[in-house]
Amino acid sequence: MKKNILLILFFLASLLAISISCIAGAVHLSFAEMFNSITKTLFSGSELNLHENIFMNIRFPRAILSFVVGASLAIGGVLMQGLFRNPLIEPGLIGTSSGAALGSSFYFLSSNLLAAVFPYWTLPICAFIGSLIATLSTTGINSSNEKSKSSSTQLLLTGIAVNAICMSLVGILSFFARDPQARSITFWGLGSLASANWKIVSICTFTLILGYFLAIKNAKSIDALQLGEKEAHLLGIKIKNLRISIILTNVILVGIATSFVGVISFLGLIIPHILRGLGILQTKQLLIAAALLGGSVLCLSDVVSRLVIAPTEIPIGIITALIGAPIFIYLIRTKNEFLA
Amino acid sequence: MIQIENLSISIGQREILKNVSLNLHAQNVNIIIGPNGAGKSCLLDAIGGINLNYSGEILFDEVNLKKMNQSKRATLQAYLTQNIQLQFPIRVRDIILTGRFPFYTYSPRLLDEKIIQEAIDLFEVQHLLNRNYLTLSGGEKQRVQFARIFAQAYNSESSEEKILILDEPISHLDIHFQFEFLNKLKSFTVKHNLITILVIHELSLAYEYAEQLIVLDEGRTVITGKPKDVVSDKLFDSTFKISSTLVEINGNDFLLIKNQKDQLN
Repeated sequence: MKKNILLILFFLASLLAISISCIAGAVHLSFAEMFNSITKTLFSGSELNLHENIFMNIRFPRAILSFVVGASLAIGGVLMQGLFRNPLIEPGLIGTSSGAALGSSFYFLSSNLLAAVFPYWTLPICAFIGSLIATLSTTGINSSNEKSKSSSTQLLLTGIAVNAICMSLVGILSFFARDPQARSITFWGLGSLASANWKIVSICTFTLILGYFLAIKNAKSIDALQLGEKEAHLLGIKIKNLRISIILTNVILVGIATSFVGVISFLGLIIPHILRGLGILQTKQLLIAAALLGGSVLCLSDVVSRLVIAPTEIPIGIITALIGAPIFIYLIRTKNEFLA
Repeated sequence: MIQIENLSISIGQREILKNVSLNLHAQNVNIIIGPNGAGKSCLLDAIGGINLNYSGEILFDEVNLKKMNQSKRATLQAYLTQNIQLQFPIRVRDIILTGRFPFYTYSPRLLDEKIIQEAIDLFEVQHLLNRNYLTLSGGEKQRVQFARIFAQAYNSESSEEKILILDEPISHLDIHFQFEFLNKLKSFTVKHNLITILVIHELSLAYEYAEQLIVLDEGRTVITGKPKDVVSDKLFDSTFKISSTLVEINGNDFLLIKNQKDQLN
């Protein structure tokens, strides 16, 4: 019962966060303007005025994108922590984020050349290719090692190594980059939602829905896996298939979201812990709660990143870590039966 | 019935099990005893399907267990391993529920709920259901695991046989709970038509509770059969390097043990 009340609260918080994100900014928008903007776009198709335009083409897609990306990262966190049975896991840990960072660095250094190959969405495509290559090489290196049985711990260690390689390559590229390019590489590594538009929103929403259903399909198996790999096997679960399925789901969610908005750290790590602290422990419930809370938190973080030194924006990854970390430390220090 | 024929297992150069042949019957509690490193857990892993790298055959009702897929096997067998470690907080009820995972797809059926409740009542863990498993005491954790594994072994069609395997289930229980658990295990085995196989280290309890006692040493079966038929005064002298003797008091047999230096007979 308590869990259902929490879910309703998270749902209301999501609506509130999206509304705040639409209202807040350099130009004040009224509810009437927002409402008119929606009805005009949906029904009459008549010309939008300046304020309505700001809402429909800047604020609203940005609010939705921040929510969707936050939800994707938090679900990724629940999945990966569940798979590795490890509370220290971030969803990008097996190469997904660092590979994307490497891909984007390539783009910033040689955008003219790469734009010839991928004329549209050059940056997200490069980032996603990087993310995919890094994740696949992590899993590939690990599963090619037939002699020793491939355990999740080995996969994790391989991931850490691949991460280190990617980040040092990013370092090399930044070293050779000229100043504005190096700045771009650094800022991309901290995330930004400024590029939000309806096309990106629809892609990320599609991957969120797809990823969510793939995750729900594996929720029971992830619960069983918490007893241990041997025990899950004895409950009839095919561990190898489960591992591949979870990693693919994570690439769909985190890899694609990261490709559009850059690396946003910490969110995927802390949201599952906060929820466990609140007594939401079953994977199925964690997934839906993580989507709602992760979405709300990133949406509000985006508001903060826009307002603190308006009209300039602080990269959102700085906000999530700078505000998230102290809250997280506070949570760890409070006595709580359910917080590991 | 489980028929094990010429079961051998090697890990690297080392032969862990050597030509083990056994018949295990339904409604029987089969207890395996043997010194450390005798190959007991290895034998359980082969029967339970964790290790399929063996030569020889394990037949369950004349079906070769090696060829059975794992999801089917999970409905016919329950296996409680040693040292289950959890990393994340989980409610006790959700742990017990995993015992029914092989039987439903998305949400538990009415039958699963009924079986879960029976298991909860049998091990008296009702008051723990909403607790975080990680905060329980060792004995409480073990009772929760019993409830989980009994829920998986629960046989709703008792015309068919099922398998229940337990690796050192009572090592961390006090003597009262050891007796209590073995009593419950015995009646559960009969009621649900189970082939129960367990490893324990308590020789006198093994002697008292086994329908079939299997003594394993250095990968071979030293002897197997009804405890009364196979346990002799000198049996444990070489396997466990202790002195043992059987004593009868008021019509009850007792297996007494003593340091090897003190010759009992």
